[in-house]
Amino acid sequence: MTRRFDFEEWQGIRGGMRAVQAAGLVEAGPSASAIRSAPAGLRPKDDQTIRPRPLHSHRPRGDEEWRAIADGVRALLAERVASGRWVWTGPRRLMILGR
Amino acid sequence: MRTVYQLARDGGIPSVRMGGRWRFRPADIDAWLESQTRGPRAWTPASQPPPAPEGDQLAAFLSSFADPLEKRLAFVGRLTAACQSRGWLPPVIVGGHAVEFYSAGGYATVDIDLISASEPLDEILGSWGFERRGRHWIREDLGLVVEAPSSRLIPGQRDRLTEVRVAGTTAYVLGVEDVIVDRLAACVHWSSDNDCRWAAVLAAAHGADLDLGYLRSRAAEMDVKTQLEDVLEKKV
Repeated sequence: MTRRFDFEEWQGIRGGMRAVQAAGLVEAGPSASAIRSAPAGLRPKDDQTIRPRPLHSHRPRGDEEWRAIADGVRALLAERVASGRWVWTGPRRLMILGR
Repeated sequence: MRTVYQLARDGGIPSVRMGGRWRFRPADIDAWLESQTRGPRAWTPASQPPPAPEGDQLAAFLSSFADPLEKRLAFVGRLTAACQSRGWLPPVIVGGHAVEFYSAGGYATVDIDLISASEPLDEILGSWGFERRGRHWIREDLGLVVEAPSSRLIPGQRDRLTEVRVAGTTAYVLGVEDVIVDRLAACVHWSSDNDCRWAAVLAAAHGADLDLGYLRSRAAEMDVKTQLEDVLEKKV
């Protein structure tokens, strides 16, 4: 799913767009719908499986889609904590366990 | 002066020894002074872990991380240790990679933007096999691209960094309030509605932890107060 990183191609895209939003050039974040539809065992431990497209392309999105993205991000954050990998040890202090 | 030279020799103040003389960059001294007067996250080189592994050792270290976000945080943690062991301020993750962190990977980007002086990055990343191309340091085999768009934080930002402990090192990420304001500023100045939307996503995801007073004050400073209130009101 993730193409080999091509710096020249990336630079060309970045020059006009300020970032690296082209689908396929980046390791894409999971889509909210993918998060919702993925079997529980795949969330988000095996998140490579649920990374079908980037969330940050510049194409316009409607309110409904942005709400879904916000839900997806909340789910991702919650899952990192629920999995026991991300442990908040105090305000603004995070410990990432394991590898 | 003897105290200053002693601090330099001990790595207690940002400095570089060149041709037998100690050199002190004004911007780094200013930033260091700021760090000395601000709370528990002040710069503490004596307590830092040893320098990062070099070259191939770095690749072996990072290969043990399956998660791309955590891999990059671990990389920055190693870089931070190396910077601090040489007497430099710790780099701070900003920009898209900070958004990626606060969205737990929901937002993805390739490059890692850091607040850091460029000298330590030249020295350290060069020894780790990175190639300097213009403003970027690159190791294509690891998929790592580093850029340092600025060398200093503004007053107050260092107090609100998020400290991330990973694999025995520490990486610092710009505070979520500053990341939200940064997105709002991008939204206004780049006419990029999606950046306002991402600010809203982050505000919704971290709402309970936000320092609203600081957030509003920074938004006023950056002339994005109206956009912030829209974001807080909409609650995506």
